[in-house]
Amino acid sequence: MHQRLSKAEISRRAVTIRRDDVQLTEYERFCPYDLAREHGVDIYALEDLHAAGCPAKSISYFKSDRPEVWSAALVPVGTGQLIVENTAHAPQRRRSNIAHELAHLLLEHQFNRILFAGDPGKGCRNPSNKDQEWEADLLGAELLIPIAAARRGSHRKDRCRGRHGVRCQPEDGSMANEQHRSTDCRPARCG
Amino acid sequence: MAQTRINVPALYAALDGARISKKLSWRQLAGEVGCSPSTMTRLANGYRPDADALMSLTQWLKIPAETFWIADDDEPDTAERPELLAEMGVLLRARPDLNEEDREHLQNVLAAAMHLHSTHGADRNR
Repeated sequence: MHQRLSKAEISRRAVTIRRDDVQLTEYERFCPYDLAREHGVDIYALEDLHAAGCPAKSISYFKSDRPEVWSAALVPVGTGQLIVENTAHAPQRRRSNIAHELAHLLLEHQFNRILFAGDPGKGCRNPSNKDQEWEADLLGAELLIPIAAARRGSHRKDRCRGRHGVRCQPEDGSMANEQHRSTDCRPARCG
Repeated sequence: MAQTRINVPALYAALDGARISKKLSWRQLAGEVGCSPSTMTRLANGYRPDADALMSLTQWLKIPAETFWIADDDEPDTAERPELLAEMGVLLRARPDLNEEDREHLQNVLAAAMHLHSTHGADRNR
């Protein structure tokens, strides 16, 4: 049975992934879209699906009428996966969602169903495996900004903002929630 | 003379079998082989490895690289799978937090994404 990884182990993996996969130090700005590209994971924006046959009414339904239903979906296809994102949401939330979904892949979580990210900070609607959600939440956040870098940066607010575009938090452990570590790098400008 | 290309699904399956027998994660396997971890996820998503990665992977497997060559005119296995779409419908119906309209529109969104993915997969294999 899968044993939940420790926070320290997840922090260590985040540093390794940032360094080996996208060649970033823990202080450099991370773009989840770059990581997805590196791993060959296609990300489809909701509005781009019209050209692939998605009815316009379905796109406007999730962009305007019911955007809260889902933010991103991780879809298993054969041995691989794809991600669909609801572009109605704020760039910070989208980046956080993509980092979270990629974290599931990087942690090699086994799943055979579509995982939907919903409300901010609540991970995917995947109640059958709360440990996996906890791990993906933490790794997604650590990828966006490693906790050690965020803590050190909180002593130097201007430098922290300059590098990551984050809201700096005091060094009291309150940075654990990934939503607090979302950056303001707009998805369209990544990469 | 017929052109050849790499049978990516077969290569991925061979690696997966060896990985499981050695109780390795994909990232550990990449470390053993000496290639980047993303090589493995790219294979899973249908991307062909570059020549260096193919050499490293087949040497690690102790299987000649030629084993994974197929004729270029063989159709790649990238067709959309109707059972995936049907399964998706079942999964969406099982979600109590979705209403009927949510399900209908989600099915349209996901079907289009899978169609686009399938098209991109076919392009990658040419």
